Amino acid sequence: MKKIKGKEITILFFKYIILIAFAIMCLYPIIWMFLASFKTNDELYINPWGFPQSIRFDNYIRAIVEGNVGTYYINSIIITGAVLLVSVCLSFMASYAITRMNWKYSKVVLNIFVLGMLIPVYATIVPLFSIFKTIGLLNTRLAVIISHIAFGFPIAIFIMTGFLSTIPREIEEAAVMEGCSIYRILFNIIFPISRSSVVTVAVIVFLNSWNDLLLPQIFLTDQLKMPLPVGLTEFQGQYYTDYASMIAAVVLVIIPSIIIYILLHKNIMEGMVAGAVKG
Amino acid sequence: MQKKRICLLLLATLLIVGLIGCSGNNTSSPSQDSNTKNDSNSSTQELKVICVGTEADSYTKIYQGIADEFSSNNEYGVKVKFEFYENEQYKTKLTTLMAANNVEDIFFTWELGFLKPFVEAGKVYSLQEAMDSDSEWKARFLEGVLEPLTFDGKLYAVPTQTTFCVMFYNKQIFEDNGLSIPTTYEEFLNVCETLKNNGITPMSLGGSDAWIPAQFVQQITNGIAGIELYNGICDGTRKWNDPAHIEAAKEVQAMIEKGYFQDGMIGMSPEEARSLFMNGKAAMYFMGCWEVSTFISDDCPIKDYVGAFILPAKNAEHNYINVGSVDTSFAISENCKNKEAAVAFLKYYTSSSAQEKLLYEAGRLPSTKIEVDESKVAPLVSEVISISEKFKGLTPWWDRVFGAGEGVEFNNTCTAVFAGEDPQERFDALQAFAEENANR
Amino acid sequence: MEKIFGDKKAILVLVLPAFIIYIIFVLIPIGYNIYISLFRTNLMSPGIFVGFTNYKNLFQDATFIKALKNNLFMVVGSLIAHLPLALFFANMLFQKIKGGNFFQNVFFLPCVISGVAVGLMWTFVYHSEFGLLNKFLELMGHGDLKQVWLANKDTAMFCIIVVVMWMYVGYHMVIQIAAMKSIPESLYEAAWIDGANAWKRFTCVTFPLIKHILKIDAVLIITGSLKYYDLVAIMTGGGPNHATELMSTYMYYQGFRTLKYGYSAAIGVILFLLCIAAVVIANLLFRSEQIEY
Repeated sequence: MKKIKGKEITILFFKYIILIAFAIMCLYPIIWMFLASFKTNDELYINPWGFPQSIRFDNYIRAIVEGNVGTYYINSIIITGAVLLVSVCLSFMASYAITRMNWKYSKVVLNIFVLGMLIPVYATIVPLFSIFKTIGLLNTRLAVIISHIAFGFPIAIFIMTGFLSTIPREIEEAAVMEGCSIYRILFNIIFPISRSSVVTVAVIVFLNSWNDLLLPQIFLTDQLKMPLPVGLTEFQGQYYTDYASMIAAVVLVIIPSIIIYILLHKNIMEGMVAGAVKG
Repeated sequence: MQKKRICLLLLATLLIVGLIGCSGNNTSSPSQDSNTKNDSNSSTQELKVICVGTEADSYTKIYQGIADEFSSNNEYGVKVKFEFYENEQYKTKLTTLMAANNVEDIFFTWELGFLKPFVEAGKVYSLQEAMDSDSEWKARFLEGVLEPLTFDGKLYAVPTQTTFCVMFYNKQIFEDNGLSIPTTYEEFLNVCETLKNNGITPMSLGGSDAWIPAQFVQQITNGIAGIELYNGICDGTRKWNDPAHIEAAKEVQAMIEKGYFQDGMIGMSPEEARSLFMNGKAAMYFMGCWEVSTFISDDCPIKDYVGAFILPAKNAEHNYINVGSVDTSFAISENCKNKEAAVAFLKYYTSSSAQEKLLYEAGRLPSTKIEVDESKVAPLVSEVISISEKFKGLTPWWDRVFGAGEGVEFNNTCTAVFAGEDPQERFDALQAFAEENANR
Repeated sequence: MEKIFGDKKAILVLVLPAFIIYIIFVLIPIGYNIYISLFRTNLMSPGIFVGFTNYKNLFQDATFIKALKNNLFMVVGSLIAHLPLALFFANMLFQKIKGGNFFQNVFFLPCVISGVAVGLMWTFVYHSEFGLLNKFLELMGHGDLKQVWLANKDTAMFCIIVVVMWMYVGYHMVIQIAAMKSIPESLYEAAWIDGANAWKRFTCVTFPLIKHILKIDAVLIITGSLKYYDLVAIMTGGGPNHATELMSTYMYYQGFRTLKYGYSAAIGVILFLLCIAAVVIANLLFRSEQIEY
């Protein structure tokens, strides 16, 4: 048992001060937004940092009714939901094939996918716009969904291949002995084991899709199909901005992210371990 | 275990939603097909108008109101629907639609440099024929408003409003300090000095949006070098770093130095600067006259005390050469399937009933000649109208003349001037930029 | 065995869907982008072939140089924050402090929030009249240091980098803690027995063994900083007067505002090349042999 010396207590004390200070820095802006969402526009200027005079849901109501936040929410859920489903499945399948199956080009294909992590999305907006126009998918949510899926592959495959390459061969060999087909092995055996990396990838894909501003702005022209981030910019008028409603809308936007985070953070951390460390 | 169940539930929900999303998208066809569907033997066709505006702007309802009036009694049986987009988003949207050749029907446009590339690419339907065949329509328009939308002798868009910059002022504050409207530049500086000495902020200005300092500099420049400089820069015979610009910049810097603007002006948003004025904390506010609707509304604390005057020119011979132009112009896309109906709508929008509606309800000045019923307009609107009748020349905002590129760089240069940078350097840089930009 | 894991048909079924989508919607667009960068075009009419003129003009374009500098500034700033600073916190929390988990979670939180939301939040923090920063300075008695943070060309970029640091320190810290956790306890015991103090333990045990993770992390940080867009677009739009212009915002502006799509595409290509260069450099800097233990 180490003896606790006076000097160590001081060091510990300072450590805590720093940690707590940074923790406040992390939390305060979010708490502030939350408090501010209950204030009126004037209150924001007069009393920006204190507690609101009263808990009023005006801003939220305005955000939802006039600001159409409900519609934006549904669009965001549709887009991100579809992206998650397809993206996770396809990248899992591809990652498995790359890491666990024997074929000449697996390394090449892996590198091609990972190269995508270096490509800036907005460098491809104009070409993508042309492609969607030719296929006739402009102004559909499908255009946004497909782009998000495509750009999600690099990081998803990067993490999943990292994880999958650590699974001992014996598991699969045992399954083959019992006469399983490759698909049975994949879905019934490997998939359950890979839960944490799947969740990690799912969270990353979710965040990128949920928070994306640029692609929906470019591909969608119909106001009613816009997802949340675009909807937030709606609160800026041509010459004037309604900050109070905007803040309420912002709070509504970040709540799902925070909820998902609270529920799944353990898995995220585990997944990071698997994906990044062993990759 | 509990958490795992919740996770599974979430995943399941997302799955279901995703499935709905996917199938939903397969059945919703892109909107470009809807026009062709409507075209064939449909009795209610729709004309779409894309325009700038958001929920925060009250004029959107008035525009749609005019559209509804047209929809209910026009001989083509079309319904007109406005679609509004936030300012920056609209600019992006229009350019992408143009690139994809997807602009439907009618679109909002700014004049001069903004519309020009689209005209040159053949994407805009020429209105010259329609205008020539209807002399009554042509005669309605005020003098000169059609020029900024005419390219190569042909008209491509129709202006529905005119707008210009004025100095709004608080009559109460002026009275309390024994001041009257300045008619010369020296008087204007005196007014500022007096207010300053009495502890009142003379002017309030939102420095965070680059076009706001820019319009102020442009106004001062007009007062120094008049319409000749404007024309010179437009046709290239005079340069951005013309001594007149430098002089104007130095004047502005002197004003800032003497404390004629509010503290924190540089980073202040226009909403806040305007709020200062509306709450009586600043005596004057320089802005375009679209702002009138804000000042006459019941939310404005000083609504009974707001007046307007023109910033006097430093060189008196250039008085009444003001920053101003047409506003809210509409053009018809070459892709429009029902150009006749579209033209009819534009004619309706510039008819006296629609123009009166814009004036009385939104405080927007018309682009056509109409009989103004004094009893229906707020006093401030009357003041602004009588000012407009004195103009000898209007110089559109530079970022409208040149569009993105030089226009925006002019705005940036003026912001730098407001921040205290050396005017000669900044305008030289602007000139250099303009020259390089021509080659890109 | 070989048959199952070498089954060509299965491989195709598993890989092709993702691969095809990827090729059509990522690789072909970037190829097309490289193609357009050789033209001068507004996409509404046929373009004019100009070869490498766009690239030549870019390097003489003062605004582009400024944007490039800003990006590099951001790379350096991010590297400082997300490597040493994150390591610092990671090491602290790794030492099994009470409440370690709580801090981990709190620090990670900022990165899940939408860029738009973060931008709006921090715009208010930096506000000149009622912003937290200025009010805080007032409280501390340094009212004279108050600035118009985002509108002042000298402070704007720095302010944005602070926000980026705020957002992602926790993210990288978590990755590093995870890496540290994979180091066997026995090595630390051995070090302690040998009389190593905390600093020595860190530099001789922890650091070398997580070097390969730091390499990946560095690549993520550098490429992320080069591609950054959301925050700047929301907080300053590239202003004031291009002081916070990044290659991404400038590219967007040249394309969608001035309609110079060829010029804009050239910026995209340069960005892409820089990212590749970053990977190469990171590989060189963090050269480490796989340490067997």
